[in-house]
Amino acid sequence: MTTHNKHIAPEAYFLDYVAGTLNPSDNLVIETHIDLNDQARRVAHDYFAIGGALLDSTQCAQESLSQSCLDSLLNRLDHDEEDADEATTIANSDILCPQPLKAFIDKDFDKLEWVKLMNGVYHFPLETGCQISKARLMMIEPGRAVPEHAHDGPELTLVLRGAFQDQGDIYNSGDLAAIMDHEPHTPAAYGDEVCFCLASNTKGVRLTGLIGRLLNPFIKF
Amino acid sequence: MKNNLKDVSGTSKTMLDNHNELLCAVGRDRDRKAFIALFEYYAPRVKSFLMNNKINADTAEELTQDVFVKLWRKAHMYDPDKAGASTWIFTIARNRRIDFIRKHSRLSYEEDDLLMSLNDAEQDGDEALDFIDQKQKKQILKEALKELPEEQSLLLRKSFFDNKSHSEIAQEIQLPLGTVKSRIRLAMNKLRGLLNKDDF
Repeated sequence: MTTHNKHIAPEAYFLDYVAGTLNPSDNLVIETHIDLNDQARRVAHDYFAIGGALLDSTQCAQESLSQSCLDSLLNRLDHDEEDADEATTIANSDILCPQPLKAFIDKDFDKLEWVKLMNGVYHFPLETGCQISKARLMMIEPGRAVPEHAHDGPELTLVLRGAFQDQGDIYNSGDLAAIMDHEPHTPAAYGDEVCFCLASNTKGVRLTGLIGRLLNPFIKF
Repeated sequence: MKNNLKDVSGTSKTMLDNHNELLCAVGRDRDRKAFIALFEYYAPRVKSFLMNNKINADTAEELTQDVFVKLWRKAHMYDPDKAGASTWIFTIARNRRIDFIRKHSRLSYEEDDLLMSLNDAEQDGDEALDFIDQKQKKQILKEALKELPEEQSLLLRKSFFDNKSHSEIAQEIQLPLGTVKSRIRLAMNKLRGLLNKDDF
């Protein structure tokens, strides 16, 4: 069996992802995580299989369908052939990024209009239409760190390219850091590569270090 | 109407019970009898899955049709070695529900990608050695679901089917959120543990 990778999302996120109850921002992060990380994909697959088993189970509730339902369905199939290959044009197929993100960006990472947060740290907000949680791409230059900060709600951070280091752990591409508590942390780019991440914060971000507290009023995460 | 429902009786009983084979026949041969057999078994379940506080019975029926149109179109991608037919149908129904509920936002993942990712799920590393095969998995899950205590299986069904957060479920059945979460966790650990014996 593959070695354990603790850098995958907590189990509850997989259940909510498969059940379809994650908010759109968290959903995007988990979907991308599953796209990039084989172990996460395996876990998600188990959850889909459990969903399938529930559907197949004798305990599954059943709702009868109207008499005409099957007939009109078969009728739809008769007329379906022509639009079977309906232009499933995959948006932005030439951009180098994980598939789930392609609905949200139209350029390669290095060509996006990054907003500078502080020296060496940039972000690019994503329009997920989510009221509960903010999704954004983060770019951290080699040797740079996000100043110590804390969250009032869960934060998911997925490494897309490069690597980062936080609380002594190293996160590589496809790894996900889930910070559930209010514990302050200081993620920093690791290695010589620029680190690109996808993050979702349920509530605001507060800078907690000394300089950070002074900067708080001026920095809008 | 070209399709005569009574034709179904001509197909052998064992074939009708094997949902994986039926789905393969739909993909390979465009077999309408197989399609109808899958519809008759799964459509009432899919409709029930789709119905909730945001989707009424009429809409659920329309969406059930959409699910089966999608099944018809995508069945050629189905690989029975990688996923059970029930997993596949569940996945399509789940996507249709999310898509409907979020009709103003984008379902970011392409349907085909998600279905294809079910095929990829077991291909990493050297797992071929102790990989539990798909049929075994399906059987294991079926047995395990029967044996779950009712208090756990009820919550499991609710969390997959009711389109509610755990706190909404807790409110509805008047249990503390912590109890709801721990029962769901117990159930999931049990099922996932059985699927990945070496991991636990």
